[in-house]
Amino acid sequence: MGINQTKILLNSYKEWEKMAVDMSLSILIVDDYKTMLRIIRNLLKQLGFHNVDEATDGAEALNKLRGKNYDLVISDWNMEPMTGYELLKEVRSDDMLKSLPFIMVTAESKTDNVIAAKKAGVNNYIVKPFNAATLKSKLTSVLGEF
Amino acid sequence: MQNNTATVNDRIENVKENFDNKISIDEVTQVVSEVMGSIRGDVTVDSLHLKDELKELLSYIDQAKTEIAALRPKEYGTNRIPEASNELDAIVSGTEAAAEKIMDAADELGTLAEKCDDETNNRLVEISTNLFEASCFQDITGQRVTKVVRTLSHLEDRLSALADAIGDDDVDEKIEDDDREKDYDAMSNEEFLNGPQLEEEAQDQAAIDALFDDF
Repeated sequence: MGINQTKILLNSYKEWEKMAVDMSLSILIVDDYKTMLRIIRNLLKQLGFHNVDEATDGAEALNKLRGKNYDLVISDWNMEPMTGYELLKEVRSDDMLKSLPFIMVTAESKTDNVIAAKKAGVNNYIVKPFNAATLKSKLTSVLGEF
Repeated sequence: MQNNTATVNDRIENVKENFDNKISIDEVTQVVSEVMGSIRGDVTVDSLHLKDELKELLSYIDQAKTEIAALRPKEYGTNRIPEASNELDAIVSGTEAAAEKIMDAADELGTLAEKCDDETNNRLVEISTNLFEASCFQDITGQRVTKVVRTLSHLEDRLSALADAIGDDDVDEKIEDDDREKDYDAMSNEEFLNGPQLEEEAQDQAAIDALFDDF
């Protein structure tokens, strides 16, 4: 096999790998600031994800997660009455939800927060303010190339 | 000496009973004054020393009370801090409204982009994304201001408790404006420079127009 043929095959594989992420997957975004919900929803839309639901705190998110199948949760930390961290722990202790991919998007950037979230089973951690490139890179690391 | 000490304890217990186990600085001052007043007749060197110390303590309490009263904790706890909290809440609402407008404009750009050629479309989508990213400032600002408001609320509680303890009830009364009777030439710059009004207190343009037409 020549170099060009190998390159073509490699590119085809990359394209196939990109297609491996189902762009219609269902995403739940959780934040108590409607501005942030709108920002994340829009950035996801620009990345090709249109099937997005919203919740404004951990308790509402948990209800939604138990009522419908989601493929990914993107949650803020600092919310009342249930924080994103508490939501994460609830998700990981629920047999039906424990393997659900969970990304924390938060202004809480202290080392303790990151370690606690990691230990509780978060899949990735984005610090606010963030940009579309960061969101895409974290989604890729959790879902695969798209 | 023993008798005097017993008297102090008795008096403190008596005051505690009378004031539901809470003793304000005024009550402490009263107890110390009464103890000092009760030291009469033949006194020992120890008693004199005690009297001096009590006198010094009384003076210290008086000075502390004056200094605390000068801070006007009741006025700050009742008026100033709640006003500052309201101003901060208004900042959050204001930034939220601004962010919404920016994002509306970004959405409109995205819609326009669909009608353009590829190159223009890509550029407009990029600009729209930048506007959405920049709108993150509202969330961050909101969280920072909320932290400050919580601290102010704690401070408000502590100042109210302090005001109660020293018997401070000095609060500025809200004086209703009567514009017609004011001497505007005599007013200082500070009296005019109040900054933006809170939405619920502010007059809208129609009210300003009506007021303007009145004069």
